[in-house]
Amino acid sequence: MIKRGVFLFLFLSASPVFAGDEKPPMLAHPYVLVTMLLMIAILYTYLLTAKKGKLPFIRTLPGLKAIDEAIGRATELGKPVLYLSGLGDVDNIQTLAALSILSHVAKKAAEYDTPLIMPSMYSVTMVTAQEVIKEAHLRAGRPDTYNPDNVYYVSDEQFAFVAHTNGVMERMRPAANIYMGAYFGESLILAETGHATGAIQIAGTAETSQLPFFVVACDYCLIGEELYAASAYLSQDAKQMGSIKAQDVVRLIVLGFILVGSILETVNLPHYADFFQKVLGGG
Amino acid sequence: MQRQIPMFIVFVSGLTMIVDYFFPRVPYIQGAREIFLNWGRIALTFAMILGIMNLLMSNLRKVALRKAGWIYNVILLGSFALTFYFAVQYKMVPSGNTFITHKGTDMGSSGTMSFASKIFLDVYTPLSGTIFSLVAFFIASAAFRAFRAKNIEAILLLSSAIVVMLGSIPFGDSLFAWLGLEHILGHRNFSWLSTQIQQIPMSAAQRAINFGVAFGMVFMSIKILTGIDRSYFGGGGE
Amino acid sequence: MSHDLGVWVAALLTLAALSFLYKDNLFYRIAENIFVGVSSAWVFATNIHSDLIDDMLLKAFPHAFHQPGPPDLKPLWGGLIGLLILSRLIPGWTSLSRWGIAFVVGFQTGIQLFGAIVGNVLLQLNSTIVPLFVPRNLSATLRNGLGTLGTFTSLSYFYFSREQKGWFGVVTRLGVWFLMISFGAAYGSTVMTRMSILIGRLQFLLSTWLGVIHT
Repeated sequence: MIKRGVFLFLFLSASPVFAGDEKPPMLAHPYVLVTMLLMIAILYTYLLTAKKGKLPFIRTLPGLKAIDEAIGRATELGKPVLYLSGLGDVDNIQTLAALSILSHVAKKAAEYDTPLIMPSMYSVTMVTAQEVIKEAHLRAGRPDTYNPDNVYYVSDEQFAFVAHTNGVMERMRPAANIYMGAYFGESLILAETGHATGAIQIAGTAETSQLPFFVVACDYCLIGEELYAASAYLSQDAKQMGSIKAQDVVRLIVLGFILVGSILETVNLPHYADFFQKVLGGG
Repeated sequence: MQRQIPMFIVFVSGLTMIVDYFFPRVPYIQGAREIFLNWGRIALTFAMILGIMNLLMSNLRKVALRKAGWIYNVILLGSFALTFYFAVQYKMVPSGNTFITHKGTDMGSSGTMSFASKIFLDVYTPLSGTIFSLVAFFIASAAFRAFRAKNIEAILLLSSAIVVMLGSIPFGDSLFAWLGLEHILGHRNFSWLSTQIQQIPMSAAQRAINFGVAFGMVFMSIKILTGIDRSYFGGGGE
Repeated sequence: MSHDLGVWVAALLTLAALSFLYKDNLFYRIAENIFVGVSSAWVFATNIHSDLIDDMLLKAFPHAFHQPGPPDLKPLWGGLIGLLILSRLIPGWTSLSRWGIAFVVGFQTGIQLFGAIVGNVLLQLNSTIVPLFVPRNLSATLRNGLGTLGTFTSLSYFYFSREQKGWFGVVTRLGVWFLMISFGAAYGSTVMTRMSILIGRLQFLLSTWLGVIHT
């Protein structure tokens, strides 16, 4: 039964509608399309369920609890909070997740009347972050305390940005450093400098290669998808919470695929084994 | 309205890319990806002006108000002006140690080099390399701190780091023999052990992280395209 | 010792940047501000050349640059979008600026959406599914078994809608162990490449500048 089901999916998704040899097919990458539509369907199912008031249970991520504590600590010490949205521009989804998280951080900081410093590597990220923070101050009922000078552009050059940010950490001694978004070779330089200045450090990135450095050098680290989940979780919006649940459902499906696939592979069903290679051979 | 038009633009431009990918024969949309990428690059270069203006204005203001450390702002402004003046005159495509101007002249790394390429080679490159090289010190200090951690997770992290590190240096193999590990693991060494760790548990865990990242990215993308998540526009989620 | 002024400038800036390891100081601050000024100007100038002149103006108005070929006006749309983003410089025009940003966010999000499905879901699924038992090959069986267990438990660790307690807690704990081994291995494997970058800088100081060692 399971086998039949799997093969039906394979058959449906692996049959492109080719029109000729020269022209591109009418429908390219059908398997990707099926997967995408399936994910959209799952997402909307849970969005609607959540919207009806049936909020899913989502466990607390330790890194997120720490954000509020870190801002609180900065307030007690009378020191600023440093927020970095990574080394990606707004065309990177990680940066957008970082800006979403910023919206929460900025509101908390505004409520506590703690300055939030944000050097930025890109112009558009800078102006977008300014809007996010301004809006957060409005929501916190403190529009008067918004200071656009605290969000500023440094340089599009990775290490010039790092050189400046390191200097800021040493001079301003922020009590909390929050690094969210895409990071590359500089992650450890930032995190170690931050540690040396005695700041509480919370990081979150989906860059697999940089996770080890943040895990070692920071107090808390959101690993991979936790960065995206965090932006949804912090919004405390029903629809956003539903999307985390949907993410889990897709995970269960993938886990099921791995389990069933491995079993089928073990009992030696070559058709199944070749499936992904075949369908992906076309791009 | 203020938010609706941008949301609509996000949706349409995103959908165009999706249609272009799945239905390559749709008229007008065919090949839109390359065109959009080109437009995006041009648009973001225009947008750089916002950042550059922000940088110049804030530094000028600090100089004008004689704020503490204003002399550093003068240094920044001076190096900006000098570099921009010379760099804009010459279009330099760094290729090894030579540069090509927009007039098509090849310039060697010595003698005839323009002032702009001198700035690139003698200021930009060494500073970039040195700031990056700081990581070599930090990689040691962070690992040293990890030594003090006492839970099993930290021990696993540190042990696999040490094995992989020893596997990549010749000293590792001598140490392997000296420790007498050959009697237990046969004629294998740290580089073998390192390969096993990287190929089995490391790739397994990284696959899991990548799966998760994909789920997160896909759902975040859909939420952005459909306007469910617009907090990056300052909407606070809704 | 080098007689080249450029080498001296590079060496002094290298030392100034390295001095950060001791603490923030006058020399580091000078180097930092020079670097920010030089790099932002450099990137801006090269982008003007490559994106605005080459990719836009040269294509749209080839004759003005004495280039052959028919004009292609399409890149001017990129310029228009850029101007939209810039419009926030005019007070009260912020919302127009959002239109331009929305375009960049939208199309890049679309590209990353299917990119993630192909690269991180389907291709990975293909490499994760392996036989759990390989006849007469104990090492392959162990390797596949351990690999599948690792992916399975690590992926379970990220499951958000359940507390990590009881039997599920055991599974996720195992997943954390796999993750930690993976982080450690990745950490260890980068040590050498990072050291080589530092060695490169030291070589410059000791060989090119001071000439005390010969490479």
